Amino acid sequence: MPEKNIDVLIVEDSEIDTMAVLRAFRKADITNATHQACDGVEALDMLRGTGGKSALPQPCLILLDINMPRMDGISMLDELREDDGIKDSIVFMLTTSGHTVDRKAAYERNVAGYFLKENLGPLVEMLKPYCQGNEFPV
Amino acid sequence: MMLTAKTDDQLKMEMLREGVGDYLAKPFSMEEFRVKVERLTAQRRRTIAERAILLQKLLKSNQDLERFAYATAHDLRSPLRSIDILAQWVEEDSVGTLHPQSAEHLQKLRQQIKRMEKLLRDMLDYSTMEQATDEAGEIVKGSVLLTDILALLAPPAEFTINASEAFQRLSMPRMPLQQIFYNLVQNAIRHHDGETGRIELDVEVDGPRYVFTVRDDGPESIRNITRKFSTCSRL
Repeated sequence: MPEKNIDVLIVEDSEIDTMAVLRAFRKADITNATHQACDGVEALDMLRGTGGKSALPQPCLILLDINMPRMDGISMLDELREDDGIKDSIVFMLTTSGHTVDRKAAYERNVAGYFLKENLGPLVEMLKPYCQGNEFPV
Repeated sequence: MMLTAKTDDQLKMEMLREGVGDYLAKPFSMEEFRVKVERLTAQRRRTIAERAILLQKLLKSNQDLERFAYATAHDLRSPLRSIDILAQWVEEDSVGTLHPQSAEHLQKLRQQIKRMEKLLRDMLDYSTMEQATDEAGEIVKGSVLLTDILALLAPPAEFTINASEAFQRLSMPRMPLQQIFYNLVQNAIRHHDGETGRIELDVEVDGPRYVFTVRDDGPESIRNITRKFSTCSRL
């Protein structure tokens, strides 16, 4: 029996960049359900089902930006990995920052990959078979 | 401070004009001598202190400027990238339906975006260049540097860009020289008014220093200006 496709949460403060991800998904025929959060605070609320949001199905595949208002991507990762209910989330960084400090910080918090926004194409290409063939945490 | 038996007023004036701190004619009282020396040293201390403060201010304002340039360039990149993405979507979605002239305009629009992206990237590179200069960077031959600059620039075929033997043989730090020569050659091409152009890079040894020259046959007759700092002019 085919399992339900994993949900994707896009955490991104730029409307255009969110649209870019959705458009790339559409073009690559990725049909997974997508959700959008504009910063770390909103994303955590959606994952936990707090702050008036209904909880997203777990686990979630998260595409995470770094520079965002209220709570940036690295701080969000800190909270995420501390929270037993959502710490299994699979996180890919998707950011304009290629700084070594950011890359180091992200991998220290166990991200599955780190992509620059200019490489959105390769990321989406990789995600398609990944979403379909990968065994996710239960 | 002059201590002399000469009481010649004209000489005294001349000396003071030349920068002598004070002029004391013999015989003089020890008291007067002491007061005058104290005054001179106090003045000197004040000047040094003032200079230190000024230097501090200058360093700070330089740092602020660098930080400002970096922050500006950095912050402008994000909306510019969004503009490019939107233009790209319009381009993709309107294939075959857009008026050919509009399609061309759209293409030109994207070219300008690319240009501005490059300017911003250069600005970012420039503001981090100071640091790079201090670090022990890669040393390359002038010939390698020239080849790399030409590969980056892709100058029009009508332009000949040469470097002298001395330039090609000289070992030099890649950063910041690559950026500097890149900007100078690019400027020479951009502001050239002829159909064809010639740009020459040269280096001369001047005692302990090297004098680099970028010479082109563009406007202002034949220019021969060592424009070491013209990377600054674009900031």
